[in-house]
Amino acid sequence: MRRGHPLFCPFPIPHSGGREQTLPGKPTRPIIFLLIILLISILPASACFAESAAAAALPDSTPEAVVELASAPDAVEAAENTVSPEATENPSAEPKGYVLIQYSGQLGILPLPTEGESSFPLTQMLPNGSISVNLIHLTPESVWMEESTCENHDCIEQGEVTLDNWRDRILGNMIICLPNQVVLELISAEEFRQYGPQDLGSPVIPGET
Amino acid sequence: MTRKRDTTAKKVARFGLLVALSLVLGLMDRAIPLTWFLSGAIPGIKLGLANTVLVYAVYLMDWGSCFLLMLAKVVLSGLIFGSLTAILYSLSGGLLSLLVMLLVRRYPKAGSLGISGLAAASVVMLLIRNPHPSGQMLWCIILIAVACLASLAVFFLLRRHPDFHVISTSLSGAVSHNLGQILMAALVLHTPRLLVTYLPVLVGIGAVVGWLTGVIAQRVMKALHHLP
Repeated sequence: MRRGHPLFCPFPIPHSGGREQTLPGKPTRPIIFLLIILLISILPASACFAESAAAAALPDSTPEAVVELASAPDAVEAAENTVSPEATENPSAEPKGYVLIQYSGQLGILPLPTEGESSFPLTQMLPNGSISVNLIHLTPESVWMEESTCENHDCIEQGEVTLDNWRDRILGNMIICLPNQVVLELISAEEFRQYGPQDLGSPVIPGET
Repeated sequence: MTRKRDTTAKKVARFGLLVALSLVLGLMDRAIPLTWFLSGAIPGIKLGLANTVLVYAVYLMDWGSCFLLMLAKVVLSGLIFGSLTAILYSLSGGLLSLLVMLLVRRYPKAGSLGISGLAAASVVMLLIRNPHPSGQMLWCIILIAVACLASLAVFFLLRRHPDFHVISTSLSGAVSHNLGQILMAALVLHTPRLLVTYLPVLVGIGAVVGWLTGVIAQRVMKALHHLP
Protein backbone atom coordinates (compact mmCIF):
# COMPACT_ATOMS: atom_id res chain seq x y z
CA MET A 1 0.00 0.00 0.00
CA ARG A 2 1.41 3.33 -1.01
CA ARG A 3 -0.13 6.67 -0.34
CA GLY A 4 -0.90 8.82 -3.37
CA HIS A 5 -0.05 12.46 -3.69
CA PRO A 6 -2.19 14.39 -1.15
CA LEU A 7 -3.29 16.91 -3.79
CA PHE A 8 -4.60 14.40 -6.25
CA CYS A 9 -5.33 11.23 -4.39
CA PRO A 10 -5.69 11.45 -0.59
CA PHE A 11 -6.57 7.80 -0.15
CA PRO A 12 -4.09 4.94 -0.39
CA ILE A 13 -4.00 3.33 -3.82
CA PRO A 14 -3.46 -0.42 -3.99
CA HIS A 15 -0.77 -1.28 -6.56
CA SER A 16 -0.59 2.30 -7.73
CA GLY A 17 3.14 1.87 -8.28
CA GLY A 18 4.86 2.15 -11.56
CA ARG A 19 8.22 3.28 -10.33
CA GLU A 20 9.59 0.33 -12.22
CA GLN A 21 8.23 1.92 -15.40
CA THR A 22 11.23 3.58 -17.00
CA LEU A 23 11.43 6.20 -19.70
CA PRO A 24 11.42 5.92 -22.63
CA GLY A 25 8.75 3.27 -22.81
CA LYS A 26 8.48 0.06 -24.71
CA PRO A 27 9.79 0.20 -28.28
CA THR A 28 7.03 0.04 -30.85
CA ARG A 29 7.41 -2.20 -33.85
CA PRO A 30 7.71 -0.44 -37.24
CA ILE A 31 4.92 -2.53 -38.82
CA ILE A 32 2.45 -0.80 -36.53
CA PHE A 33 3.51 2.60 -37.80
CA LEU A 34 3.17 1.38 -41.38
CA LEU A 35 -0.38 0.22 -40.62
CA ILE A 36 -1.32 3.56 -39.10
CA ILE A 37 0.17 5.43 -42.09
CA LEU A 38 -1.93 3.22 -44.37
CA LEU A 39 -5.05 4.09 -42.38
CA ILE A 40 -4.27 7.79 -42.59
CA SER A 41 -3.89 7.56 -46.35
CA ILE A 42 -7.15 5.64 -46.74
CA LEU A 43 -9.13 8.19 -44.75
CA PRO A 44 -8.92 11.17 -47.16
CA ALA A 45 -9.63 8.90 -50.11
CA SER A 46 -12.84 7.68 -48.50
CA ALA A 47 -13.79 11.30 -47.76
CA CYS A 48 -13.37 12.19 -51.43
CA PHE A 49 -15.44 9.20 -52.44
CA ALA A 50 -18.27 10.09 -50.08
CA GLU A 51 -18.24 13.64 -51.41
CA SER A 52 -18.47 12.61 -55.05
CA ALA A 53 -21.30 10.20 -54.21
CA ALA A 54 -23.18 13.03 -52.52
CA ALA A 55 -22.55 15.30 -55.49
CA ALA A 56 -23.96 12.66 -57.83
CA ALA A 57 -27.09 12.46 -55.73
CA LEU A 58 -27.45 16.23 -55.59
CA PRO A 59 -29.37 17.29 -58.76
CA ASP A 60 -32.48 15.17 -58.09
CA SER A 61 -33.32 16.50 -54.68
CA THR A 62 -32.01 20.04 -54.68
CA PRO A 63 -34.31 22.43 -56.59
CA GLU A 64 -37.59 22.36 -54.63
CA ALA A 65 -35.84 22.28 -51.27
CA VAL A 66 -33.63 25.22 -52.13
CA VAL A 67 -36.51 27.34 -53.34
CA GLU A 68 -38.64 26.87 -50.29
CA LEU A 69 -35.78 27.27 -47.85
CA ALA A 70 -33.99 30.37 -48.96
CA SER A 71 -36.35 31.80 -51.56
CA ALA A 72 -33.32 31.81 -53.83
CA PRO A 73 -33.89 31.18 -57.55
CA ASP A 74 -33.83 27.87 -59.35
CA ALA A 75 -31.04 25.58 -58.25
CA VAL A 76 -27.64 25.60 -56.64
CA GLU A 77 -25.85 26.54 -59.86
CA ALA A 78 -28.39 29.20 -60.73
CA ALA A 79 -28.23 30.62 -57.23
CA GLU A 80 -25.19 32.53 -58.43
CA ASN A 81 -27.44 34.66 -60.62
CA THR A 82 -28.84 36.77 -57.80
CA VAL A 83 -26.35 39.59 -58.07
CA SER A 84 -26.76 43.11 -56.89
CA PRO A 85 -28.89 45.15 -59.30
CA GLU A 86 -26.15 47.80 -59.54
CA ALA A 87 -23.70 45.42 -61.15
CA THR A 88 -26.14 44.35 -63.82
CA GLU A 89 -27.39 47.86 -64.54
CA ASN A 90 -24.09 49.42 -65.46
CA PRO A 91 -21.72 46.65 -66.51
CA SER A 92 -19.30 49.21 -67.94
CA ALA A 93 -18.14 50.33 -64.47
CA GLU A 94 -15.53 47.84 -63.31
CA PRO A 95 -15.71 46.50 -59.75
CA LYS A 96 -12.70 47.03 -57.49
CA GLY A 97 -12.44 43.40 -56.52
CA TYR A 98 -13.84 39.93 -56.90
CA VAL A 99 -14.87 37.32 -54.37
CA LEU A 100 -13.92 33.74 -55.14
CA ILE A 101 -16.36 31.31 -53.54
CA GLN A 102 -15.28 27.71 -53.05
CA TYR A 103 -18.28 25.59 -52.11
CA SER A 104 -19.04 21.87 -52.43
CA GLY A 105 -16.27 21.31 -54.94
CA GLN A 106 -17.27 24.20 -57.19
CA LEU A 107 -15.81 27.63 -57.73
CA GLY A 108 -17.96 30.72 -58.12
CA ILE A 109 -16.92 34.30 -58.79
CA LEU A 110 -18.85 37.26 -57.46
CA PRO A 111 -17.83 40.83 -58.37
CA LEU A 112 -18.07 43.47 -55.68
CA PRO A 113 -20.86 45.97 -56.35
CA THR A 114 -19.66 49.24 -57.90
CA GLU A 115 -21.99 51.26 -55.67
CA GLY A 116 -24.28 50.49 -52.79
CA GLU A 117 -24.29 47.30 -50.70
CA SER A 118 -25.86 43.95 -51.31
CA SER A 119 -26.36 40.59 -49.66
CA PHE A 120 -25.96 37.34 -51.48
CA PRO A 121 -27.47 34.08 -50.17
CA LEU A 122 -25.35 31.04 -50.98
CA THR A 123 -27.47 27.91 -50.71
CA GLN A 124 -26.07 24.42 -51.07
CA MET A 125 -26.56 20.85 -50.02
CA LEU A 126 -23.90 19.36 -47.77
CA PRO A 127 -22.56 15.79 -48.21
CA ASN A 128 -24.57 14.64 -45.19
CA GLY A 129 -27.83 15.74 -46.83
CA SER A 130 -28.63 18.90 -44.90
CA ILE A 131 -29.07 22.25 -46.60
CA SER A 132 -26.96 25.20 -45.57
CA VAL A 133 -27.36 28.91 -46.24
CA ASN A 134 -24.61 31.52 -45.97
CA LEU A 135 -25.55 35.16 -46.36
CA ILE A 136 -22.59 37.05 -47.81
CA HIS A 137 -22.58 40.83 -47.46
CA LEU A 138 -20.82 42.77 -50.20
CA THR A 139 -19.82 46.44 -50.22
CA PRO A 140 -17.75 48.19 -52.93
CA GLU A 141 -14.52 47.55 -51.00
CA SER A 142 -15.15 44.73 -48.55
CA VAL A 143 -16.97 41.51 -47.87
CA TRP A 144 -18.14 39.78 -44.72
CA MET A 145 -20.35 36.92 -43.64
CA GLU A 146 -23.62 38.29 -42.39
CA GLU A 147 -25.59 35.17 -41.49
CA SER A 148 -24.90 31.47 -41.49
CA THR A 149 -26.68 28.26 -40.60
CA CYS A 150 -23.56 26.64 -39.12
CA GLU A 151 -23.41 25.83 -35.44
CA ASN A 152 -20.36 27.75 -34.24
CA HIS A 153 -20.64 31.00 -36.28
CA ASP A 154 -16.87 31.26 -36.55
CA CYS A 155 -17.26 32.66 -40.04
CA ILE A 156 -19.25 35.65 -38.76
CA GLU A 157 -16.71 36.33 -36.02
CA GLN A 158 -13.88 36.42 -38.55
CA GLY A 159 -15.02 39.92 -39.44
CA GLU A 160 -14.71 41.69 -42.74
CA VAL A 161 -12.05 41.48 -45.40
CA THR A 162 -11.33 44.72 -47.22
CA LEU A 163 -8.96 45.32 -50.11
CA ASP A 164 -6.49 46.85 -47.62
CA ASN A 165 -6.59 44.86 -44.41
CA TRP A 166 -5.76 41.39 -45.70
CA ARG A 167 -2.12 41.79 -44.70
CA ASP A 168 -3.07 42.26 -41.07
CA ARG A 169 -5.60 39.48 -40.81
CA ILE A 170 -4.40 36.10 -39.68
CA LEU A 171 -6.51 34.32 -42.26
CA GLY A 172 -5.34 36.72 -44.94
CA ASN A 173 -7.96 37.41 -47.56
CA MET A 174 -10.07 34.39 -46.61
CA ILE A 175 -13.29 33.81 -44.71
CA ILE A 176 -13.78 30.16 -43.86
CA CYS A 177 -16.96 28.43 -42.75
CA LEU A 178 -15.80 24.94 -41.90
CA PRO A 179 -19.16 23.26 -41.10
CA ASN A 180 -20.78 24.55 -44.30
CA GLN A 181 -17.61 23.98 -46.33
CA VAL A 182 -17.53 27.49 -47.77
CA VAL A 183 -14.34 29.47 -48.40
CA LEU A 184 -14.52 33.10 -49.52
CA GLU A 185 -11.45 34.80 -50.96
CA LEU A 186 -11.29 38.48 -51.83
CA ILE A 187 -8.95 39.40 -54.66
CA SER A 188 -8.40 42.75 -56.30
CA ALA A 189 -9.27 43.47 -59.92
CA GLU A 190 -5.58 43.36 -60.95
CA GLU A 191 -5.10 39.94 -59.41
CA PHE A 192 -8.27 38.77 -61.10
CA ARG A 193 -6.98 39.88 -64.50
CA GLN A 194 -3.60 38.32 -63.75
CA TYR A 195 -5.07 34.94 -62.85
CA GLY A 196 -7.48 35.14 -65.74
CA PRO A 197 -10.89 33.51 -65.60
CA GLN A 198 -9.64 30.64 -67.75
CA ASP A 199 -7.22 29.47 -65.04
CA LEU A 200 -9.97 29.21 -62.47
CA GLY A 201 -11.74 26.19 -63.94
CA SER A 202 -15.25 26.97 -65.12
CA PRO A 203 -16.24 29.91 -62.96
CA VAL A 204 -19.65 31.49 -62.81
CA ILE A 205 -19.53 35.18 -63.68
CA PRO A 206 -23.01 36.42 -62.86
CA GLY A 207 -22.55 39.92 -64.26
CA GLU A 208 -21.93 38.68 -67.79
CA THR A 209 -24.47 35.89 -68.10
CA MET B 1 -1.04 -1.21 -18.51
CA THR B 2 1.29 -3.74 -19.98
CA ARG B 3 2.58 -4.92 -16.64
CA LYS B 4 2.23 -8.62 -16.05
CA ARG B 5 0.22 -8.40 -12.86
CA ASP B 6 -2.55 -6.31 -14.40
CA THR B 7 -5.70 -8.37 -14.68
CA THR B 8 -8.17 -7.96 -17.50
CA ALA B 9 -10.73 -6.41 -15.18
CA LYS B 10 -8.24 -3.83 -14.07
CA LYS B 11 -7.36 -2.98 -17.65
CA VAL B 12 -11.02 -2.59 -18.59
CA ALA B 13 -11.69 -0.41 -15.57
CA ARG B 14 -8.75 1.85 -16.29
CA PHE B 15 -9.65 2.07 -19.97
CA GLY B 16 -13.23 3.08 -19.16
CA LEU B 17 -12.01 5.65 -16.67
CA LEU B 18 -9.69 7.21 -19.23
CA VAL B 19 -12.40 7.33 -21.93
CA ALA B 20 -14.83 9.01 -19.52
CA LEU B 21 -12.14 11.43 -18.41
CA SER B 22 -11.28 12.39 -21.97
CA LEU B 23 -14.96 12.98 -22.79
CA VAL B 24 -15.40 15.22 -19.75
CA LEU B 25 -12.22 17.13 -20.58
CA GLY B 26 -13.48 17.51 -24.15
CA LEU B 27 -16.62 19.10 -22.72
CA MET B 28 -14.43 21.44 -20.67
CA ASP B 29 -12.55 22.36 -23.84
CA ARG B 30 -15.81 23.55 -25.34
CA ALA B 31 -16.64 25.51 -22.19
CA ILE B 32 -13.40 27.50 -22.28
CA PRO B 33 -13.88 29.97 -25.13
CA LEU B 34 -10.32 30.50 -26.28
CA THR B 35 -11.56 32.23 -29.43
CA TRP B 36 -13.18 35.00 -27.40
CA PHE B 37 -9.88 36.03 -25.88
CA LEU B 38 -8.45 36.36 -29.35
CA SER B 39 -11.56 38.20 -30.62
CA GLY B 40 -12.39 35.61 -33.25
CA ALA B 41 -9.15 36.16 -35.12
CA ILE B 42 -8.17 32.51 -35.11
CA PRO B 43 -11.19 30.29 -35.69
CA GLY B 44 -11.53 26.78 -34.38
CA ILE B 45 -8.87 26.63 -31.68
CA LYS B 46 -9.31 25.08 -28.25
CA LEU B 47 -7.20 24.26 -25.24
CA GLY B 48 -6.97 20.53 -25.91
CA LEU B 49 -7.22 19.33 -22.32
CA ALA B 50 -8.40 15.96 -23.62
CA ASN B 51 -4.93 15.57 -25.07
CA THR B 52 -3.50 15.12 -21.56
CA VAL B 53 -5.34 11.80 -21.29
CA LEU B 54 -3.79 10.66 -24.54
CA VAL B 55 -0.32 11.71 -23.38
CA TYR B 56 -0.87 9.76 -20.16
CA ALA B 57 -1.98 6.75 -22.20
CA VAL B 58 0.99 6.95 -24.56
CA TYR B 59 3.34 6.57 -21.60
CA LEU B 60 1.49 3.94 -19.61
CA MET B 61 -0.37 1.78 -22.12
CA ASP B 62 0.62 -0.19 -25.18
CA TRP B 63 0.00 1.14 -28.68
CA GLY B 64 -3.17 -0.87 -29.27
CA SER B 65 -4.88 0.50 -26.18
CA CYS B 66 -3.78 4.02 -27.12
CA PHE B 67 -5.27 3.61 -30.56
CA LEU B 68 -8.53 2.24 -29.17
CA LEU B 69 -8.72 5.03 -26.61
CA MET B 70 -8.24 7.67 -29.31
CA LEU B 71 -10.85 6.01 -31.54
CA ALA B 72 -13.38 5.74 -28.71
CA LYS B 73 -12.84 9.36 -27.70
CA VAL B 74 -13.15 10.70 -31.25
CA VAL B 75 -16.25 8.69 -32.17
CA LEU B 76 -18.07 9.22 -28.88
CA SER B 77 -17.38 12.94 -28.61
CA GLY B 78 -18.27 13.33 -32.29
CA LEU B 79 -21.59 11.59 -31.76
CA ILE B 80 -22.36 13.57 -28.62
CA PHE B 81 -21.27 17.08 -29.59
CA GLY B 82 -20.60 17.30 -33.29
CA SER B 83 -21.47 16.02 -36.70
CA LEU B 84 -20.03 13.55 -39.17
CA THR B 85 -17.55 16.03 -40.60
CA ALA B 86 -16.36 16.85 -37.09
CA ILE B 87 -15.53 13.17 -36.59
CA LEU B 88 -13.62 13.18 -39.88
CA TYR B 89 -11.51 16.19 -38.87
CA SER B 90 -10.72 14.98 -35.38
CA LEU B 91 -10.02 11.43 -36.57
CA SER B 92 -7.36 12.57 -39.01
CA GLY B 93 -5.86 14.86 -36.37
CA GLY B 94 -5.98 12.19 -33.70
CA LEU B 95 -4.38 9.51 -35.86
CA LEU B 96 -1.50 11.75 -36.87
CA SER B 97 -0.94 13.04 -33.34
CA LEU B 98 -0.99 9.52 -31.87
CA LEU B 99 1.53 8.32 -34.45
CA VAL B 100 3.81 11.26 -33.78
CA MET B 101 3.50 10.91 -30.00
CA LEU B 102 4.39 7.21 -30.13
CA LEU B 103 7.44 8.09 -32.21
CA VAL B 104 8.45 11.01 -30.00
CA ARG B 105 8.21 8.82 -26.91
CA ARG B 106 11.12 6.91 -28.37
CA TYR B 107 12.99 9.90 -29.81
CA PRO B 108 12.05 12.89 -27.62
CA LYS B 109 14.84 15.16 -28.86
CA ALA B 110 13.82 14.77 -32.48
CA GLY B 111 10.28 15.80 -31.52
CA SER B 112 11.07 19.09 -29.83
CA LEU B 113 13.77 19.97 -32.34
CA GLY B 114 11.38 19.27 -35.23
CA ILE B 115 8.67 21.45 -33.73
CA SER B 116 11.04 24.34 -33.18
CA GLY B 117 12.23 23.97 -36.78
CA LEU B 118 8.63 23.99 -38.00
CA ALA B 119 7.88 27.12 -35.98
CA ALA B 120 10.99 28.86 -37.31
CA ALA B 121 9.99 27.94 -40.86
CA SER B 122 6.49 29.36 -40.25
CA VAL B 123 7.90 32.67 -39.00
CA VAL B 124 10.13 32.93 -42.06
CA MET B 125 7.22 32.05 -44.36
CA LEU B 126 4.92 34.65 -42.79
CA LEU B 127 7.64 37.31 -42.97
CA ILE B 128 8.29 36.54 -46.63
CA ARG B 129 4.61 36.88 -47.44
CA ASN B 130 4.26 40.04 -45.37
CA PRO B 131 7.54 41.87 -44.64
CA HIS B 132 5.93 44.63 -42.54
CA PRO B 133 3.37 42.95 -40.31
CA SER B 134 1.02 44.93 -38.10
CA GLY B 135 -2.04 44.38 -35.98
CA GLN B 136 -3.12 40.77 -35.49
CA MET B 137 -0.37 39.46 -37.73
CA LEU B 138 2.40 41.06 -35.65
CA TRP B 139 1.14 39.45 -32.45
CA CYS B 140 0.78 36.17 -34.23
CA ILE B 141 4.38 36.24 -35.48
CA ILE B 142 5.61 37.09 -31.97
CA LEU B 143 3.61 34.15 -30.61
CA ILE B 144 5.10 31.73 -33.12
CA ALA B 145 8.61 33.01 -32.38
CA VAL B 146 8.02 32.44 -28.65
CA ALA B 147 6.77 28.94 -29.41
CA CYS B 148 9.92 28.27 -31.45
CA LEU B 149 12.17 29.40 -28.60
CA ALA B 150 10.14 27.41 -26.07
CA SER B 151 10.47 24.15 -27.96
CA LEU B 152 14.18 24.84 -28.47
CA ALA B 153 14.45 25.28 -24.70
CA VAL B 154 12.72 21.93 -24.22
CA PHE B 155 15.28 20.36 -26.53
CA PHE B 156 18.19 21.67 -24.45
CA LEU B 157 16.56 20.98 -21.08
CA LEU B 158 15.88 17.36 -22.05
CA ARG B 159 19.49 16.46 -21.26
CA ARG B 160 19.21 17.45 -17.63
CA HIS B 161 15.61 16.88 -16.64
CA PRO B 162 13.65 13.78 -17.63
CA ASP B 163 10.47 15.78 -16.83
CA PHE B 164 10.67 17.52 -20.17
CA HIS B 165 10.23 14.20 -21.90
CA VAL B 166 6.47 14.43 -21.39
CA ILE B 167 6.32 18.08 -22.45
CA SER B 168 8.18 17.29 -25.66
CA THR B 169 5.70 14.52 -26.47
CA SER B 170 2.68 16.69 -25.72
CA LEU B 171 4.13 19.56 -27.77
CA SER B 172 4.61 17.51 -30.90
CA GLY B 173 1.29 15.76 -30.38
CA ALA B 174 -0.61 19.04 -30.31
CA VAL B 175 1.15 20.44 -33.37
CA SER B 176 0.63 17.26 -35.38
CA HIS B 177 -3.04 17.18 -34.35
CA ASN B 178 -3.41 20.63 -35.90
CA LEU B 179 -1.46 19.49 -38.94
CA GLY B 180 -3.73 16.49 -39.51
CA GLN B 181 -6.87 18.60 -39.15
CA ILE B 182 -5.70 21.30 -41.53
CA LEU B 183 -4.67 18.68 -44.11
CA MET B 184 -8.15 17.18 -43.93
CA ALA B 185 -9.75 20.64 -44.13
CA ALA B 186 -7.70 21.53 -47.21
CA LEU B 187 -8.81 18.27 -48.80
CA VAL B 188 -12.49 18.65 -47.98
CA LEU B 189 -12.67 22.35 -48.88
CA HIS B 190 -10.53 21.99 -52.04
CA THR B 191 -8.35 24.91 -50.95
CA PRO B 192 -4.67 23.98 -50.75
CA ARG B 193 -3.93 27.67 -50.08
CA LEU B 194 -5.22 27.05 -46.57
CA LEU B 195 -1.91 25.29 -45.87
CA VAL B 196 -0.01 28.47 -46.68
CA THR B 197 -2.18 30.94 -44.81
CA TYR B 198 -3.41 29.07 -41.76
CA LEU B 199 -0.87 26.34 -41.02
CA PRO B 200 1.91 28.64 -39.67
CA VAL B 201 -0.51 30.14 -37.15
CA LEU B 202 -1.70 26.72 -36.06
CA VAL B 203 1.87 25.51 -35.52
CA GLY B 204 2.52 28.38 -33.11
CA ILE B 205 -0.77 27.96 -31.25
CA GLY B 206 -0.29 24.19 -31.08
CA ALA B 207 3.17 24.51 -29.57
CA VAL B 208 2.02 26.95 -26.87
CA VAL B 209 -1.07 24.94 -25.97
CA GLY B 210 0.88 21.67 -26.14
CA TRP B 211 3.36 23.06 -23.63
CA LEU B 212 0.53 23.85 -21.21
CA THR B 213 -1.14 20.46 -21.50
CA GLY B 214 2.25 18.77 -21.32
CA VAL B 215 2.93 20.46 -17.97
CA ILE B 216 -0.47 19.28 -16.72
CA ALA B 217 0.13 15.70 -17.90
CA GLN B 218 3.60 15.64 -16.38
CA ARG B 219 2.35 16.90 -13.00
CA VAL B 220 -0.45 14.34 -12.95
CA MET B 221 1.84 11.46 -13.81
CA LYS B 222 4.37 12.53 -11.22
CA ALA B 223 1.67 12.86 -8.57
CA LEU B 224 0.44 9.36 -9.33
CA HIS B 225 4.01 7.99 -9.05
CA HIS B 226 4.07 6.92 -12.65
CA LEU B 227 7.22 8.89 -13.34
CA PRO B 228 10.61 8.48 -11.66
